Amino acid sequence: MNSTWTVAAREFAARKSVLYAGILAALLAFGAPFVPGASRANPAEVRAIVVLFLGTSVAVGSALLVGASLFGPDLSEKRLAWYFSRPIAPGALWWGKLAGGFGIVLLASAIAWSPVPLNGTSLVSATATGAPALVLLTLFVASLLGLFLLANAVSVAFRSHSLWLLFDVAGLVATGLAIWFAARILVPADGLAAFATVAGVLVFTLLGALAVAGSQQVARGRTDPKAAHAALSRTLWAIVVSTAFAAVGYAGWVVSYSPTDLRQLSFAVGPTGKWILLSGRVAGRNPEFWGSALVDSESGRFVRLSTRTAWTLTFSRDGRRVAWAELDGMSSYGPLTVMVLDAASPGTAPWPSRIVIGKAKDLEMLTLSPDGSRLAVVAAKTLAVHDVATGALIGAVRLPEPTDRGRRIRFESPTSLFLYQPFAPTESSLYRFDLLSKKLEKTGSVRSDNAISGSFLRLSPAGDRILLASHSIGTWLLDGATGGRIASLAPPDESGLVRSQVLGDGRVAVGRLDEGSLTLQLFTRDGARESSIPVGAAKSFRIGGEVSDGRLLVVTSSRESQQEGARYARAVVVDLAKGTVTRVADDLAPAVMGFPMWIPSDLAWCTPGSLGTRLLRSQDDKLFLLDPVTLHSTPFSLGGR
Amino acid sequence: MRGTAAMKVETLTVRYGKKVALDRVGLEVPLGSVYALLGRNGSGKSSLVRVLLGQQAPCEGHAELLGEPSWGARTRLMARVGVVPEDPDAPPAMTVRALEAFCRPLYPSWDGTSLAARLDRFGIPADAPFGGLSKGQKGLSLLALALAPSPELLVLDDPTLGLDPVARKAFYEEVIGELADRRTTVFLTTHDLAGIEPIADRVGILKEGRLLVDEPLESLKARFRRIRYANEITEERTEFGNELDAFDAVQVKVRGWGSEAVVSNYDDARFETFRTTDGVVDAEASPLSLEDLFLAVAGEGARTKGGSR
Repeated sequence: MNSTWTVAAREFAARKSVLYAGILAALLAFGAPFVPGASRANPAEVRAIVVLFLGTSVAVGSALLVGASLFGPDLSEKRLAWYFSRPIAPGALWWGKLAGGFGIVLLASAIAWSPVPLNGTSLVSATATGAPALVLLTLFVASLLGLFLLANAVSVAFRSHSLWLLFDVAGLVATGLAIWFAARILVPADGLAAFATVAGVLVFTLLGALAVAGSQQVARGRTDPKAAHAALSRTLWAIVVSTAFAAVGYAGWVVSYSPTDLRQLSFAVGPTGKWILLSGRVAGRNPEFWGSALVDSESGRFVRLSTRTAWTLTFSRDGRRVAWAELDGMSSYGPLTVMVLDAASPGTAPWPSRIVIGKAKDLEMLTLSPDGSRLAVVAAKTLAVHDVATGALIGAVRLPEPTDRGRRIRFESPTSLFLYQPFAPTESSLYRFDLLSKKLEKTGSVRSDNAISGSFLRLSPAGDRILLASHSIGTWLLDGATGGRIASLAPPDESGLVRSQVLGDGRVAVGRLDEGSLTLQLFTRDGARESSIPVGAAKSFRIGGEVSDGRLLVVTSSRESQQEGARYARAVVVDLAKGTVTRVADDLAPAVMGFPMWIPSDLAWCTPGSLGTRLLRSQDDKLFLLDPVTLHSTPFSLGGR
Repeated sequence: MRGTAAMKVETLTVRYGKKVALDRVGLEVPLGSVYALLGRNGSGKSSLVRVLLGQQAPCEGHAELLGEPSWGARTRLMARVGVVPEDPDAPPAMTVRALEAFCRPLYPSWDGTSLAARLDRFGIPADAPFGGLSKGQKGLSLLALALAPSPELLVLDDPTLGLDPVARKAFYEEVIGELADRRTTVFLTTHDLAGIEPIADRVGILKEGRLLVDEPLESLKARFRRIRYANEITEERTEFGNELDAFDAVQVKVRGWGSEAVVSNYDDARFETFRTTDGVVDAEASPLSLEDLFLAVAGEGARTKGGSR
């Protein structure tokens, strides 16, 4: 320790001229407001700006200069023997010179920045960032230390004139490749937070590796420049490259989750069929990492999807085909490829179609035709229809107005589509796109005196009706082709006391809470009230799907809808024909209802009796399946789940 | 301390790329002796010193100082070893006083009084920056610093290179004084053969990385002689050139008056036989100075690698 301090003191004293740069910078900053032409209105701000520039320059400059001259010149000019002829341990020499050299850098930097506190301004406001001062200071010092150590390493490497420089280049390339691989794995999988963790670990590993490698450079290389470079390079790259490749392994582990690793689940289920889209936080990984998986509920087979693009997933109405988009690279400005899964074929793997979307950020939605043979793509304000098998473009049309949400597409037939396009607060338009004539024809519109805000739109199974529910306009039943209002089923509701659902036969069920009592009103497909069924006492409720024809799942809660746990409550099945209410389970919620928000709501509609209508979930992510005959719910496993 | 050797190297090899600087060198320096390692520039002397001082790792072989491995125990050993390098390597901005202040806490047995006395004797200003001193002053101040911790071993790497005669004399007087006072072991490399001859006990000669000579100076000088003679045609003598066959001649020169040879295995009986050889006339043998001896072994005209006995 004694010799470490002796070396440190000597190093500090030898470099005290660096302090003059700090003093000069501080004096210039103090004098800056008095320079002709400088703003005198706010001298503190002028000083802060000058300090930011000069203080950073002094800090970075001195870190680079002192770091580069720490060992490199002494090694190449054979002056290091002075130390090695004394009883100074290599560790004492390295850490002593490091402490003394970096100490002078810190002191010079502190002097250069001294006008900031003396000025009455804070470090945070001077740097115009919102970060806490201690964090900012730590990062600044760590960055300076990194520069300081890097300058030493580069100086030793270049002054040795040895072939180890090639090894350095190889180490740099290997590290770069490993980082690229890690990014290539994590970024498309929406693992930006995990990648940030990887990057942070790598940066601090590099910092530690530079310090340890410097110590080895002195201990193993001593006065021999080539041996010093060799020891430095071997140690540095052994640590950095192995950490970088460990990062690749970590990245691979992060994205290799299975559906059983997902927590806080969100679900989407096809209108028919057995495939379920799960999304949730991945257990044991970075807390901010969410994963998605398309799971065959019978076999447990699954396909991982990036949460970044899982929202593009679309099921065909017959449940035989699923399509979604995947990023080809890492950037949102890069292309997407549409992936296809033939869900009905056992053991089939997803295959990349020839449908490519130029820029990921331009994609608005994908919709499969009922039989899954065609795919409608809305991207870059253009509607394009492709043949899924060949990728061939069947027709495309420029859309009249941009919209960022709420757009719906329905295949009326293999050669025509309906497009519901909300683009103005009080008006939405309906179009038909004819693939034979390649023409887009406006067939109608929906107009309202009030802005259609917070709207919820659902198409009837046959597509001839639109159910539009909004806090501001109430619940409307519209013609599926013209948008003409057929009936107003409920008045405007700001408190979530009204909810509705389209039934398999085109009728509409509207639930209304009135003084703590829930009533389910049934309307014909022409909007005429058919019946009214009292469900019981409740403070909030949700309507699920038809567990079988004419039997609707409803969850009632004794808590307000915004209260925690309100959605996990008493599940009942309402027989719409008989008007009976049967309690089936407690503390459960329809698995696919109402969330996640990013799943298009037409995905949340399921054919009566299909898996999606009968799947329930508990608050702790356990699944239950309702038997449509006995109305008993039993634990449900996703294949191997 | 183990053994009686202050220094020991075995099969020491140092390479720089394909160039072999030291080739399986082995030598031993007895405690209390003065060992002079001689060699031309580039013969490997400085590499050997660096390895001995633990500043450089050998490619093969090993080196010991005072019974401990030079590389592994360098830190501990340097507290017992004084070093004066070939090039004065102290930081030029530091004054001699600052150099002393730096060194003092590193050594357990620092003798500041003797250092001050030596500096005073050498006439070196303690407050002048080291870089501003003359070459002689630099060498002498480094010697003073090297002697201040009372080392058991003094390693001097061509310390008088570039010194004027006055500084060189002062340097050797100081070394001789140290020897007289404390019987410190001295290992030095030098080109100043005349200067070292009076004090060296043992001599090693390196040539192109190989140690050709390693023995006491006294025995070395005893077995090397310069022989001058002339040849004469007699009735019985018809061949010339084989008259030196009984000697290991490391250098032979033919002059107008006859021949001159340096032999490395001289003894009186063998010379007597030679002198009375038929046709050999006016034969005389004379001893060599260390410089002549070095030139004969390591110089351009050396006929063999043959200093070794």
